[in-house]
This record gives sequence, C-alpha cells and structure tokens, in this order.
Amino acid sequence: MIHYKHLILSVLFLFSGFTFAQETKQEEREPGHLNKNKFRQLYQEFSTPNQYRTASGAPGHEYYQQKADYKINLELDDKQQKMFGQETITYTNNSPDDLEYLWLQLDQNVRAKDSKSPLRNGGGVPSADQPGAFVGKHFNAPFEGGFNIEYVKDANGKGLKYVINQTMMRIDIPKPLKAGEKISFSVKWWYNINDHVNQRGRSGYEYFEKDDNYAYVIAQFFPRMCVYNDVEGWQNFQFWGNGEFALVFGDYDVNITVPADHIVDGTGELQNRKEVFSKTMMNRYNQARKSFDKPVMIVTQAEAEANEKSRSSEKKTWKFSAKNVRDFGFTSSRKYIWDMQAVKFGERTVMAVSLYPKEGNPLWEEYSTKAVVSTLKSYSDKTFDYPYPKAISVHAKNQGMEYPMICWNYGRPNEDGTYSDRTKYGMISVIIHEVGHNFFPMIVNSDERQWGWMDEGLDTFMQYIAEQEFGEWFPEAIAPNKKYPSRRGEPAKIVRYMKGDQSFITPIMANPENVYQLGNNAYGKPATALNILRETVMGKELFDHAFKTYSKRWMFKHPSPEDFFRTMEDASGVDLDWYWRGWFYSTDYVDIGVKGVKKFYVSSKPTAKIKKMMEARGMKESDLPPLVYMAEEGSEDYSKKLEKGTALDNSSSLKEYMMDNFTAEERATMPTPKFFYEVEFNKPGGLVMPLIVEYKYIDGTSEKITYPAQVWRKNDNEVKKVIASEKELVSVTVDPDLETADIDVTNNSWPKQEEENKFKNFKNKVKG
Amino acid sequence: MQIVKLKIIVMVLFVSLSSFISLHKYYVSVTDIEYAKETKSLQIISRLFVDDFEKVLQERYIDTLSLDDNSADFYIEKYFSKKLKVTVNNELQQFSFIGKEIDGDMVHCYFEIEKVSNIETINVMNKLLFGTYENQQNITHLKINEKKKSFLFVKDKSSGLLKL
Repeated sequence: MIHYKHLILSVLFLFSGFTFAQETKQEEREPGHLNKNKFRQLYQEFSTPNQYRTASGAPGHEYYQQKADYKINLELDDKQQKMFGQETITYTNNSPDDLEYLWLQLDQNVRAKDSKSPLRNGGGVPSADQPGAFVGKHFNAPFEGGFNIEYVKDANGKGLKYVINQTMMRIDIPKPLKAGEKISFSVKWWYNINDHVNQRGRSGYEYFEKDDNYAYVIAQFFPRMCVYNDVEGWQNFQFWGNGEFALVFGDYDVNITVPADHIVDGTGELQNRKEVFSKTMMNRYNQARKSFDKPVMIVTQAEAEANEKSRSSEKKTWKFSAKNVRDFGFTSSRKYIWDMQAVKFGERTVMAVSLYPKEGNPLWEEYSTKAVVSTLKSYSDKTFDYPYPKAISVHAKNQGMEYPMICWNYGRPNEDGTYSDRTKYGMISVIIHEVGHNFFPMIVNSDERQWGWMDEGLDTFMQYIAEQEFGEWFPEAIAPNKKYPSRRGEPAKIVRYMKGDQSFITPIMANPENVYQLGNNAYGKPATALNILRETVMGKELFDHAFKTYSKRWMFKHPSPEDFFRTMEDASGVDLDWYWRGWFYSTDYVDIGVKGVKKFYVSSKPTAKIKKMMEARGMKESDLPPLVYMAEEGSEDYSKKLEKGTALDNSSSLKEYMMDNFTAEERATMPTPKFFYEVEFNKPGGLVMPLIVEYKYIDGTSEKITYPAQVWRKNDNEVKKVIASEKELVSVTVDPDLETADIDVTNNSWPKQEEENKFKNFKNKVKG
Repeated sequence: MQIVKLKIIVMVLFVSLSSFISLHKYYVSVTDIEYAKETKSLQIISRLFVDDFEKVLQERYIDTLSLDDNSADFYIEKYFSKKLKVTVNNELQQFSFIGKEIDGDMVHCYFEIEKVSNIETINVMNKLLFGTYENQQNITHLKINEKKKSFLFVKDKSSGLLKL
C-alpha cells in the first residue's frame, strides 16, 4: 500500500506542475540567495513608522509642523525693475527639539553673479540659446541678480548674525529657540528683477516694446523659512534650479506698493478693495460674486488698452491677507484685463480669476476662467473642497508656474489673433495643471525640493482626469474632438519613455536635480502609474477612496512618499508594495506576451509520460486509481477519435465519477467542456502587472479575464493557464485595450498578428 | 524578435509644465525606412521634434511658418529633398511626400519611393537638422526584406550603406 500511495502522490505532483526534469540530479549545487521576490514588502526602502508618521500612512499622535507668519511691505520700482522688501517673520517652533539656528531660503541668489547653479551642468556648446540667455552667458551682460540683504534684526531692532551659503541663509540666534517657543525677526532686502521671458525663470517681468510696459509675475522673491521636520531636519538642500520648494505654512499680511495705474492680484484676500478699485470695478466685482455661470469683466480690454498709455507718478498700496498658506506670489501691470466668476463650495463662494494683457486674447477671455472653474470642481471632487477664497490664472508668455491661489500660464495667440489647436490645448492644459497645484503641493504640502513627483506626478495624474471632465462638461469647447486631447495620462503615451535607453532613465524615487528627462520622470510616468493603478489594478472605487483619504489626511500638512504609499494601501486593503517597488523604485518596464497555446483532449489512456513513470516504479495500469488523462493534440497520446467525443465520452473514469456523484438532472445543467488549452504567457519585462487576457472563440464570442499581478509571484518569467471550453479557442490577446503601457505589443497575440503598418494606414487616410 | 542593437535614445523635449526647466536638451530624430514587397516601394517615416523642425524651416524659408498649417507641406518636402537622400543600387531615388501628422511633441513625415525592386545595396544620407543643431543625432532604421540595420548619424558621419 505504501507503494501505491507514493504513486498517487507522484501522479498528483505531476498534475500540479512538477516535471521529470526536477527529478534528475543537479550537477552543481546553486548558492543560496536573499529574498528577491517582487512581492516582498518594502521594509528596507521605507523608513520605520514612529509617533510622527504611522504605519498606516497617517500623521502620528505626535506629528508636528512649524509655523511661519509673515508681515511684508513691498515696493515695486517699475522704472528700474527693482523689488524692495521689508519683512517680519514670526516663527513658531512646534517641534520637540531646541533649534540652535534658523535656516532661510534665498531663492533669488540662484541669479546672483557668484551663483553656482549655472556651473552645475557639464556638456558642450548647446545647439541653440534664447538671445537673452546667450548674451547673459557669453557677453557677460551685467545683470546684477540675487538678494541684497540690508539687515537681519531681532524684535528689539538688534542685528542678528547671519551666514549666506548660496541660496540658503543661516541666522545664528543668540540662544536656542526652545520647543514651543516663538521668535520674531526682520529682514530688509532688495533685488533686481530679471526678464523671465528671455533669461527664463519662474519669476520676473516681460517687457512689451510696442506700448513700453512691463508685466510682472513675482514669486520666490522674499527670504522664506526652510521646513524643519522629523524627516529631513532642516530642509536646506540648495536651490539649484530644478528642485522646487519646501515651505512652511503660516499667515501672511502683505502690502504691495506699485504705480497707481497698475492692476495687482496675489495670494490672499484683498483687504482694501475700496481704496484700490474704482466705483465701476467695485460694482462689477459685486456682480461677479454672484455670477456662477460666466465670468464678469472687472477691467475690459478697452479699459486695459487705455490704461497701457497711462504713466501715473502716483503710488497705490494693495493689501493682501492670507491664512494658512505656504507661500506668496503676485502679479502687477498696467496691461491687465481682469475677469472673475464665482464658484460655490458648500456655503462658501470661491472666486475664479484671470488676468491677461490684450496679447492673450481672444484665447484668454474665452477659456482661462472656464478652465479655472472646471479645475476647482474636478480636483475638489477627488480630494477636498477647495479651501481658499480664490484661484487666479495669470497670462505669462512661455511658462507655467504655481503658487498658493495664483499661477502663471502660457498660451499666446499669434499677433493677428489666430491660434493653433496646439496653443489652445496647451493653454487649457497648463491652466488645469497649475491651478491643480493648489491641491498638490500648496495644500497637500509635499517636499518638492526632495521629491518632484509627489506634487508633479499627483497633479499630472489629476490633470488628466480634470482634462477629460473639461471635455465632458464643455463639449463645444473641444469640438470637433470627442474627448479632450490629453498629452499625458494614457498608458500608451509613456511607452516611448519606458522603452528608451536605460542609461537615460532614473527611478521616480530620485531627487529632481539628479534625474534625466524630468518631464517624463516626475510628471508623465508617475501620472501614468497612478492612472493604471486606478483604472486597471485597484479599480476606481478603491483607488478614489484611498486617494481622497491621503489628500484629507495630509491637507495642510507635510507628507512624505511613504505616507502616500502607505495610505493608498491602508485605505483600500490592497497590497501595493510590488507596484511601488516596480513603478516608483525601479526603471523596469512592462512587457508581457503570450508564448504559445497547446490543445488537449480528455483521454482514458495513460499518456506516455505517465506510462514512463509507471515503468520506472514497476506499476501496472490496474494499480492506478481512476484518473482523467490529458492527451495533447499531435502527440503520440492523441488520436483523431478524441476530437469526436465529449470529455465524458473520452474518459470512463470521469463519466463514472459524474454518475456516482450527480443526478441526471444535475448533470444535464452542467457544462461539459470539450476543448482544453494550456496557454503559456511570458514576461520579458521586469514589472509585474495584472495579466489581462482576451480569449476569442470560434463562434465569435470572447471573454476577458484579468489574472491578478500575484499570478507572477512564484515565477517571474512565465505562467501557464488552462482554459476548458465547449467552443474552440481561436485567439488569445494580452492587454487588448493597451491598459498597461506594455512596451512591445508584437508578442501580445496568438496566433501572431501581423504588425500594423503605420505607413499604409496613414497613406490610406491621406489619400482617402 | 530581433534585438535592434542601437537603442533609441528618444529624449522627449517637454514644454515645461509647472516650472521652467533648462535640462540638457537632446536633439534626436528617428527615421524608419522599410521596403514593402506588395507595393514595391520604400516607405519612409521621419519623426522630428516639432519645435526643432519648425525653427529650422522658419530660419530657411518663412519666419512665420507653422507646422500646424498645411502650407508648411511644400517646405517640408523641399527641405527633405535636400537633407535625406536614398540611393538604391547606386541610383539616387526621388521620393514623394505623402503627408505629415503631429503627435504631441513630434511631427511624423511620410514619404514614399515607388517602383523599387531587386535591392542589392541601399545607401542613406540623413542630414536632417544638422545645419542648425550641433548635437543633432539622426537614428535611421532600415528594414529591407528580412534584413534590418540601424544607424546613428551625426554631423561627421551622415550616411551609411546596407548590402543585401
């Protein structure tokens, strides 16, 4: 009997996938190895949870963040393009640590003459330069950029010692700032404003030669507190130019003095509207507060054009106040046309605002505020109701950049007012993207200096959803397109990047200063990864709940990458360590294919393999228990006869079992498969992904089965699946709807499909 | 699936969203030349960055030229006829312009050389954009019958030969 049992075990093993090859002895013993399984948890990569940040991804019970409140007086010198400022910072140390010194960011110093930023890149002569940049580099044009710090004083007016290290300034306070204490100090400074169009920059002026006017978009223009937290200590990584900002929340009171004929808007609520608005503007503003369906002009194009000719020698001070923001930005010019529309969030009215010179029309009056409104609605739906009182879109010639409540966006028509679709969709997309940044990172305040993808990737992912919704809500705005032509988000759009040369690809989890192709690395790939996660891996319901949980947990706080990764798992009950590991920590790509299909019939006779085993063990057929055998088509076990019968006809063991265990009625309702297929899938790509397969049958029907990614957990290279069917299988397609960013689809079909001829298709299209 | 030895370095230029970014910019075009037996023609698709190509055409021809506009087609054809030369069995071939399409940052240009048979040798010279961009690289893939070859053309080496 023992003998018999062994045989049964062997037979069972045979069925569960063991092969004879494993019974032969190995010549050499392989060395052992560490856990290389792609589904192992990210214990090595993640930091250990603690009282500040929990293992569930939420802020811990002792989570803290610092606070920096600013009172700033500014004067803009429009004649010489200089910015003068005096600020008082009140810094609250909510950390449990005593701070011996304070670190501030001096971002303007990236433009100082001794800045190391331009020296950080190697390489030869660039092929082309903007004329301004060229002159700046080679003619040594005397642009005196960077901060001129006049003083740093304590609350009693006594000078404080400070040290400037490039774009960072350390203030050496006389005694440590103890946990829970506050300190106030003042800084006076000025700098020359740069030309952001020709010298490039996120902040600066554009000069309009025709009417001799400047339009200013001003940001990272005042000394700002660095973040101090449990993750980085002081985040004083230099501002080299690519890695953006890490900033502390606080309350701002900012007074901006400009020529009296300038139009100004910025972060926060305007405190002295009656002083700076004309009566007409005031009336229009009151109308706009109630206009929920279309924008109301506060300053019309005709008025703006008249204002362009004015040269007031008077000054006006615009006073803004903002609560719980991480930064402040503003814009100022004589040239601005100004429109506003109201948006309702619960009981609150939020103003969607656009400012643009006539050069932005007719594009801007039509689409800017519309895009702002649409963005606030789309993003709020997936995160939290937009908490600030307004969101402003300002026209800038060739850049898009975000600040709390305000952003600059490109999209300028030709001089005759015509514009291409590329310009139009470029503009709507950049507005959606930059207004969307209010959510990430202005409110969900990740560390941009360290992790570009945490705001850019999440924002670009949301941008895709918001663009598609814009298309659904305003079909006339995107006609004749049926859906909004998004540049990023769809899986197929990232393929070209992911299959590129590995020596120019960096994992997403990298500092933005050190990556190749920042646009793909920090924007396109994480956005696509999240889109695939939402639509294909988790499903919209689970994803959206988890994403919203993350947004709400970290609203007005400083999340780290792990806080995001952990929350997405914690709130959904989906283990995603494998997904983060592959998509975010590696440069692996998706390539899954179907290798082959074998067809089997049920048979009564032991197959050659079984016979060989019986022989080895000295068994006879009568020693075997009742078994159902599978004969592969074309093999020695196969005969044409098998094709005629059903599985029951072909196997007496099976037939007897059915008769013993089921009644005739039961048997009549059970499907009896006739065709059995072993489908082998392979995975040349390193990423594990769900295996999405479409099976097509001879009668024209098809079924789509998604095997979870865990199908690869024991064999990362290939996996077999058995299909039992009453109908003959005619084709197998992996990822039929291109959901996974598979970089090579030529191996995705059985039988192998002829490659689509792009040339022929295009020619047919053109020639009609 | 044959492994193409020369990996394609397509560094996608991006219009920087959310930040101006002056990263090292790559100047790369990709041209596929494939022989279609059934039509006895060489099918050519060239993919160039819209902004680079537009700038070159503006400098050479009309400074307001826009690739979004069909009137650019005339100049595209004119430019290609100077910069891309295909010689089959030592005979320079004339190609006809089929059309172009814009796909994100790239413009795809389609050309066809008809009445080609018995290819023994094919020589390609690809000088697209070399005049303007010092670091321009033109990747060119040839697929003639079952034979494949890829070239990376740079300013100092702008032509290559495939023998069948």
